[in-house]
Amino acid sequence: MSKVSFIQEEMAQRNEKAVIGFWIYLMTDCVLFASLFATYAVLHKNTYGGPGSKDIFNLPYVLVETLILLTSSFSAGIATYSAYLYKKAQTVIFLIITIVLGLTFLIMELSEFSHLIRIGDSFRRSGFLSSYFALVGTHGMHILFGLIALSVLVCQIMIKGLNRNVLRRINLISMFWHFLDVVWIFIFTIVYLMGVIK
Amino acid sequence: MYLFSFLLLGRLTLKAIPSDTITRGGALLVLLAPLGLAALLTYKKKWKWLYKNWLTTLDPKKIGVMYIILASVMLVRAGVDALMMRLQQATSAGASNGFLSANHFQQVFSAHGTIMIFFVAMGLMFGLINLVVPLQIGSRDVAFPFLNSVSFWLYTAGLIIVNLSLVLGTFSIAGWLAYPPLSELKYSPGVGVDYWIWSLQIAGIGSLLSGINFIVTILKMRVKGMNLMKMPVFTWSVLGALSLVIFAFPILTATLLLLTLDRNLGTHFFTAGGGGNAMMYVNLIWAWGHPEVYILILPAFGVFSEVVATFSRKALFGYKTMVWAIWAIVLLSFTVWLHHFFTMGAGANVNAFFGIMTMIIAIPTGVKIFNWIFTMYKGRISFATPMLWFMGFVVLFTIGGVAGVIMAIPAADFQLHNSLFLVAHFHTMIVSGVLFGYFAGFTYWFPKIFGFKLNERLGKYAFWCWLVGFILAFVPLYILGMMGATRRLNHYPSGLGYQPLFIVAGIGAGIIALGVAFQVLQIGYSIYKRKEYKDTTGDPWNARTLEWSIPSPAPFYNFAKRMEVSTKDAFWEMKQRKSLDQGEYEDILVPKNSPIGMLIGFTSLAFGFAFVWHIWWLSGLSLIALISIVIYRLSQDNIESFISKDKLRKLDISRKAEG
Amino acid sequence: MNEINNSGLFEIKFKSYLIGFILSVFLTLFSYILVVRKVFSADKTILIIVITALVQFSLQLIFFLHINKKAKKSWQLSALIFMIIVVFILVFGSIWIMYNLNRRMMPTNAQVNNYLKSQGGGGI
Repeated sequence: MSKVSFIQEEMAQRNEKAVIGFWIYLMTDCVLFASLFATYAVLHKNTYGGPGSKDIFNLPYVLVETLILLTSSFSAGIATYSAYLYKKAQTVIFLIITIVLGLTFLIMELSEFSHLIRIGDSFRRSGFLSSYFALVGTHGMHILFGLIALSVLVCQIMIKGLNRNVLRRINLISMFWHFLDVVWIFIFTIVYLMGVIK
Repeated sequence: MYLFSFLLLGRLTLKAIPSDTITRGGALLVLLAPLGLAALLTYKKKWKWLYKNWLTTLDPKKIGVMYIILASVMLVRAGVDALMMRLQQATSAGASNGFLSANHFQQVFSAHGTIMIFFVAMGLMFGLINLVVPLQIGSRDVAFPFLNSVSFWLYTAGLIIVNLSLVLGTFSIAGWLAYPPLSELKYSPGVGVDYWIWSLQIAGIGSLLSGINFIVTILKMRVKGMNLMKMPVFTWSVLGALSLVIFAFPILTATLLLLTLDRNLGTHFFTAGGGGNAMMYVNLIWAWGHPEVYILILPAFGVFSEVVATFSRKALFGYKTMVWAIWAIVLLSFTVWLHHFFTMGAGANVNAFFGIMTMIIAIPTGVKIFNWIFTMYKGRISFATPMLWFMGFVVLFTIGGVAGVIMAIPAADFQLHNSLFLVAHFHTMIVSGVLFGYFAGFTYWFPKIFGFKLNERLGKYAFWCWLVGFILAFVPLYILGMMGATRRLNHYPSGLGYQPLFIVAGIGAGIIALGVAFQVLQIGYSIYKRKEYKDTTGDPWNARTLEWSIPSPAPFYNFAKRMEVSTKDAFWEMKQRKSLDQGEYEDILVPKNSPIGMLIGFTSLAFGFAFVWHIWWLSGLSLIALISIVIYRLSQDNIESFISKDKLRKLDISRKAEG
Repeated sequence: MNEINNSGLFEIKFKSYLIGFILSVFLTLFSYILVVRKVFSADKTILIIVITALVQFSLQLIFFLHINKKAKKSWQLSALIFMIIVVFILVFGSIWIMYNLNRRMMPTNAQVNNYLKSQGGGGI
């Protein structure tokens, strides 16, 4: 076996290990979110005289957030697809679209938070609001880290081109981004939609 | 001035330096030990050697050794805590108040529990996993060597934070699991609980990463032909334990995060007022905590499976039932957590469900015990030290297990909850199960890592001291629990008849300390006699699994040739068929050493320390530094060196000539 | 060149992203409209939107996260199933335990009053 083909085989194995390793990490993150969901489920009636979920949620606003995040998940997928076709410019463009959409989502979420804090319904107000801020805020933190990772990735593509390592990272980061969208499905349904019904 | 000091140092002031003699002594020891070590290194001009060969290494074997060294130091540290508690309880009856204040006593038992679980048991476990798993599955490395070093250094950072609490400020007084509302800001305003939170949070993330790493290693890097049902049982048990790690530790991370928010941002998760619910903390922490005890015990079960088969000269009885028992335990361990708080007030239906589940989980454990005993049956048993640890374990563990089943009955638990009976029960499980298991494993695999065997006679002395000491130390606690003595007593009236039993328990603890001394002596003496005890064959115990097919100490590339196996107990089969040393040499990639794991560890340490003391500029700075370091590492390209098969052949041949 | 670099990574098709995206948008809007227009009673709506969420979850797993036959071979599916079991036990176990505890251990003032009165004493 020549050195080149040996390294190629090694890289294929490395990709496989990275994908399963990262996937297992995502599974652990699901359990983290599950703990926060459980806390929300237990505490969401503890309003302590403060507002309940029905009083503070603005559903149309959240729907826009949801659709933006969903679109960014789609564009992350397209970026990966473009990377597979070795279209560097297209990859970068779609990654930047993902970043912009993600940033919009994050800003919308933060302005929702700051609105709540301004009108006195901060995380200090009640057990319900604490658990709401913790659950949605942890998702937001993940989005923030995802944005940092996406930005670094864009820089790496610009500098190094679409080499093996970069290609692997595009795969992993888009997995991460899709995963955040999957978690958001449950936040949208359980926290926002169900919160408004009852 | 005050504002300036607050901005610069947060709440860290001169008052943080301990004022009473006992704490000062501890602080001095914590400071002097590393300083003394540093002086010795400087004197011997070994810094470069230490840095190049150990601190920056990505070799799992060396990382494993570092884990075990730190865990052993922590065993002594937390063992001193135990001796202090025993001394206090033996002397503090009636008019006498003992030598520890109530507050200090609380710190001591909190530190003892925290350190023993997170930094001794977990450290020894990850140490052994690092040493053995890649070798046992015929792999050259772990799946993510760099991540492995990060895990180790995060563990170290957590360990340093816990020990810093001796030097600056105080430790938590809220017990090893820091139940709120006591651990909330209102009732624990100092830094103690923060020290506890951050040491666990950082070390816990390290464990989580390590869990992912070794699961991928086991799933993806087995030698050709070793399908799952041919894996050694130790590897199986590690896979089971780490599956628990990856699904239980995120719960701990979340719980600690919520407690941090309560303490720092004024949220109301577990507070007494404001719509918080302290019972939710207890619920969450045990949803992690119960799997945690199985995380610790499963690899020890794996060690015993290897030890029993090797020293009975027989294949393990019931391999398949063993594997299924492991997975039954893995799954069931997520369904029993309420038995830690039967008395919190859940209804009879809830308590009954968790009581029954607890009894059910005893069944697969019983299956394992019988499998080991049947393995010994008609075997040619040699009573080497690892085997002695095993036999001590079987006896004690069964007693402790029966005590556990008694407490699984909710009605009985209402009497025994938080009594010394409980303390005696879980110490029987963890000392005889976990510690004895890792001691057995350490003695068993020691020659593979260091190239020489440990002295048997001193090892046996250590074992007998541990066994006798353990019985003397904990049987009285069972009785005391029945008599109504609660845990965490720093003082009791003299007329209750407790004192004689506490004195016996104290003597027992002293004998255990003697056992530890013998272990230290054993290692020292064996190093001194290392030429005499040299393992020239690579297979000193006539063992069964692949790690014994290579020379001792294991070379950095583990296996020179690409092998293929066809049965379980692959090495034993090879020996029977006399088909050793098969396979071809091949090119390999070896990861280059990297100081970045250490850097990440110390940056996390700075982050945690800054958070404890509210030095906000430092925590912000270290967070930014942490992200930058990770990005820097991800941008490095040339991170491994290539070793051609010719070079590997030369290395291998010269290695074998030496052996 | 292409094949060598992708080996060990996912196979990716544009079509699967598109299908996943369209279906997810549709399901999101469906749940939203159901809640806003109050088409059904509260309990029925909750049931339907939870099912919708689970469907969308599976769709995104298949179309965005590439959970397919290959995933079964590479342990992704096993890890996923294990995670779902643990999450199920954790969330529903916690809810079961905590609601039971809350009912028994954290009564409201009114409940305490009623209890005390039923025992023949005065309220608080």
